[in-house]
Amino acid sequence: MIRKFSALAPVILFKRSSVKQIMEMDIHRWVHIHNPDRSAKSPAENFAWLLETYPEFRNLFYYRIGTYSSILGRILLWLAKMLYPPVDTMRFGLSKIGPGFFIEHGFVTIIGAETIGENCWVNSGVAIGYRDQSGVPNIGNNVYIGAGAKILGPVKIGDNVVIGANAVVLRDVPSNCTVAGVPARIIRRDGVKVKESLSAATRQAS
Amino acid sequence: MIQPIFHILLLRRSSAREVIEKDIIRWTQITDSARSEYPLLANFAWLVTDETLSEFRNLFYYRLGKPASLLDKLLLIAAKAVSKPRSALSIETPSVGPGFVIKHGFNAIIRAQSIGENCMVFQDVTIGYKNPGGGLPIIGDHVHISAGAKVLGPIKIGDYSVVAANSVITKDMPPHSTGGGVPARVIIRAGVIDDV
Repeated sequence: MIRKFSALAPVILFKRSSVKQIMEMDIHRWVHIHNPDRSAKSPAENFAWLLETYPEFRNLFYYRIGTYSSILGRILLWLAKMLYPPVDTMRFGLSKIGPGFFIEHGFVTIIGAETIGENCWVNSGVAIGYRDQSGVPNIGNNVYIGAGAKILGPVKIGDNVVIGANAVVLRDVPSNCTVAGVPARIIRRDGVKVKESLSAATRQAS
Repeated sequence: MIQPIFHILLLRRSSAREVIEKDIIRWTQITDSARSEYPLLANFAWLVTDETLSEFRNLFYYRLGKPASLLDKLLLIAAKAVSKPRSALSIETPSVGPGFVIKHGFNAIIRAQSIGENCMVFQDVTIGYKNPGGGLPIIGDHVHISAGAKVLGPIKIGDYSVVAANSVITKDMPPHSTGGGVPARVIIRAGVIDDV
């Protein structure tokens, strides 16, 4: 059962939501990362706990449920946002984000990707978005984006990619790579240390 | 001047009072040295009420720790209601030495194993683990961490070191050195500029 009365409005929104399954996958990942001991508890209970403890989880929750047209939905959402205010410096843009998305802290984090795959991880100070008017990034599955990294323009990030802290990524990144630096270079490919520029990797692939 | 009354009561009742007083002296020196002649409590009242210095409140509430009694708890709630801490600033370090200064503090995450005395941290700084669940940095005394720097992993930053702006530090830094770049190298070692 939910112990806290204040969590009633968001829990109702969560249980009635059409994206409940995706959110359950998010909750599973967040609980696994923050406190694996809780994984035996019910999703609703863990949901209330995450909402209470991690403000950045609230951002993800409000992003997932979106807006409501019904009066009841609007009132519940307003109540939830009053009682559980999200991190004020985080924006989601129009991204389509896969399940299992994890945010660490979420301070000054702008996520303006076109699509983001499953089980991605974003740290604080990350900016994903426009470089000019040409487009926004597409990001694959299992991508880890370190603190302060910037991914700009219509680039494609493959699966299982690690983007190092403070990296600036302006070109496509192939799968199973670690990139770092300004501008970003490949420093690890399939677990082996390498030194490769991203433009060379793009030329090789095409 | 009713606003800082809860803070002054909390300061008087706190067990970390001496550490907080050292913080106040250093913050005053750095932020507005003309005030260093003023009495300590006046400077404290100014620091907790000034809107542009709300990062001091984060440090103050962090120093107080968990309230020991119900009265402390109520005072803390009242204090936080009248002067809110900065939202995008999180201090999760078990021990931070006295004289710790946070400048601006927007998007600063300070999660070290320990931080020495008289350190200084700017905005956009992340101190934390490199790989999820990995080890945390140990930071010495008088360390200066500039804007946008990331200090990651189980490393040691020596005393009197400077971490340059936007650098990513993932290896140990000796004392009296300056590190910069992505990935960072030591640029100045014991006051002598290294060949680049």
